[in-house]
Amino acid sequence: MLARTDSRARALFLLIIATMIATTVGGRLVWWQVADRQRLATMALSQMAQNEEIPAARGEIRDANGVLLAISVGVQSVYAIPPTVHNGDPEGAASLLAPLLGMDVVDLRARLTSKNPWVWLKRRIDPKVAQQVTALHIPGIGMLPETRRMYPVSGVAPDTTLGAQLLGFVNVDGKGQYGIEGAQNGLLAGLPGSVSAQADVIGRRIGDSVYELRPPVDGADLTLTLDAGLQHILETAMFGNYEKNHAQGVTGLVMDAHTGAIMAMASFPTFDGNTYAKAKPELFTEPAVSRQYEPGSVMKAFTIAAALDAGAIDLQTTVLDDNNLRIAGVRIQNADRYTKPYGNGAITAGDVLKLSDNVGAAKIGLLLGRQRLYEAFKRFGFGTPTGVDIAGEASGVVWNPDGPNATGDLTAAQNAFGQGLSVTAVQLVAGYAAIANGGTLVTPHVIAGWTGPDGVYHATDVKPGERIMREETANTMVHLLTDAVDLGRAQPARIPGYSIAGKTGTAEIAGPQTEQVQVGTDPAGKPIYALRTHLVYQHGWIDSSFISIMPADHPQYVTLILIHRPATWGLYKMAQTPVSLFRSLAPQVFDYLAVAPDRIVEPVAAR
Amino acid sequence: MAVIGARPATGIGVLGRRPRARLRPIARRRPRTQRHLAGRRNAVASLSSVLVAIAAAAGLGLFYLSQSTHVAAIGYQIDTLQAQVAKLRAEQQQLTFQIGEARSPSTVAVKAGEQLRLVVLDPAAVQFASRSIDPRTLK
Repeated sequence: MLARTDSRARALFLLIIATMIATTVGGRLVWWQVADRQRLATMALSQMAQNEEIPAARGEIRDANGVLLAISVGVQSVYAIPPTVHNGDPEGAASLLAPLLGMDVVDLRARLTSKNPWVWLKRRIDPKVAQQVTALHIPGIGMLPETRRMYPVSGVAPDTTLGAQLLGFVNVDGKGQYGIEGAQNGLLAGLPGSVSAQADVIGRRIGDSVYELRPPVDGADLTLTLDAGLQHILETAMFGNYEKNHAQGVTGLVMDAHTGAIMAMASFPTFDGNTYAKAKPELFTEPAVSRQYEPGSVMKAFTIAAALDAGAIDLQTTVLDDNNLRIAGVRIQNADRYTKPYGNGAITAGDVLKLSDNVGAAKIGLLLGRQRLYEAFKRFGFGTPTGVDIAGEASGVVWNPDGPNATGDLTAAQNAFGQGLSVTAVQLVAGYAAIANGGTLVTPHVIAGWTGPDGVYHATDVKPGERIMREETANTMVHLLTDAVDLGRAQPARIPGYSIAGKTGTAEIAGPQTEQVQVGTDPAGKPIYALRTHLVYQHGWIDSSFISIMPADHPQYVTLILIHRPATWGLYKMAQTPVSLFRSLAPQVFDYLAVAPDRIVEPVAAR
Repeated sequence: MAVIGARPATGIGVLGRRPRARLRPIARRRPRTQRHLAGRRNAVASLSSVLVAIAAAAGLGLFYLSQSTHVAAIGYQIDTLQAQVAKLRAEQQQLTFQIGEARSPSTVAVKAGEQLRLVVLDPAAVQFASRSIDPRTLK
């Protein structure tokens, strides 16, 4: 009887316990299913959901003839899951992978045995290497697809690509840097898309579970005005000069005088766009648009054009060159002061260009008036960015002679022959293009147009040029510059069969100079000295250039050759001058562009 | 013969006349066995309709399941095909890149020198021949 009672009690107790457990579990379930449902559902969805960005294909860059200059190629990047590798044979994996990936074994082993759950080993590897790595079947080593920007056309110099500074590059995050890649990144990159969907246990997207799909918009393909063949010719010539002169840098440019289209732009030293990370960062900018320098005598053409256009002088007006112009205590002299210490006497504007006469140019500038000269230089585009479609353009500096940083007539006189102001190569070429095309300032540009993802080609909308001088003045200037080549100092630039208008320019370069100066005295009366650094023109440091309009009879192209700080051995002489480089380059350019001779060629026997 | 429960043949029933009381026919009680059999028939009938409904629902469910599995399978196929497209596109880009390399002026210049034994012309070596016609007169 007692046992039966105990059994009932135990059953009752167990029932109560079971009921309590069931109530607790049931209550919790009800809580999860009803009260906390929304939060848990959201959590579950977020675990299953896969939000993936769909990258947009970056546009290609091609030259005017369709030669491919830049393309984004699908490549593989190698990663490792160190815990998995660690369970296997990390030593063996490192020794197998190191030669394939071109990495140091020790560094690779350190990565494979690191405490991180996931590490990159090498990104954007060569497809052949990717195949070899896959064939090894090493546990914990995998690959992910990425894109790599590649520049297929190799340059003339070793380890360079054609027009590297002009094109720029795309960094590891897929963003365009420098050059065209940087300036036109928005157009080239396109807009990435996205997809939100459920993923299965191994991360594959479940087909019928797409919540949201936003397709990507691919980037536009750019067509340049650049001609890869001409670029190669220019790079060959410029690189040869760069090496001969042991120069700090060289820049060459060929532009269509009527449209402002840049057909070739080459600078050295340069880099390889495919391995930009190995290059010095200072090489990334295109010197033709970013480097400001004092142009020297090539500015005399603008001084004379401004004076002629304003009616301040005519072709018969003479100025006295006595090689001794003193303004504000500063003496202005000619480059030929050692051979002609008393100057060239009474000279015309044409003579100023032929003789490259500093005193004559300064006097013509002062005849025009310092404010009018300053305004004319501004009209020619100096001191303002040209708007060229390449990243990193500098504006140059032209001081207002009556401004706080200038010295009145001295500034104007120095500016008249190209000192005391700074310009960029592309500004200078655009200015000469205005002379060549009859007086209209063109906007330099390198992008001819772009093709959108829909396949429609859009030509670049180039801003119409502004007339900055009378056509008559421009034509007169072309004649004067032709005489400067035919009869003047630039005679070595003559090309048989072709008329050439051009001007040489050499300017000294200012550099830092440190001096010890007394800044006071101590209580004992002893002088206190300090080192002070300031800019002074350095002996033997020059920028030497030659700019030409060719052919002069019917101007089509403007070319610039600029040599920055060649080795001059203190004698202002160099292994190959810009003029002699032009003489070897111009026939190739004429030949390549199929420009017919415009002058009767003397018989070989007659020369 | 009057029909029990029928309305009267004459008169208008809606005019307030109280209708005659309807007399329900006295149900003749069936024998017990008969009633049992009828009940079973009814139960079987209702069970079969439930089974049919279950079968139909199961069929629909299976159809839905097969369709969604099919869609998912097609989704995976699409993913596989897209991966193939991406792979082929990458190969095409590689080929385009290689064509670009082969067409580059530097490559052409090197091959012209190595394979065709061509040399770059020295401009200084050019000798212009005389012309009998002034080129400026040429159109």
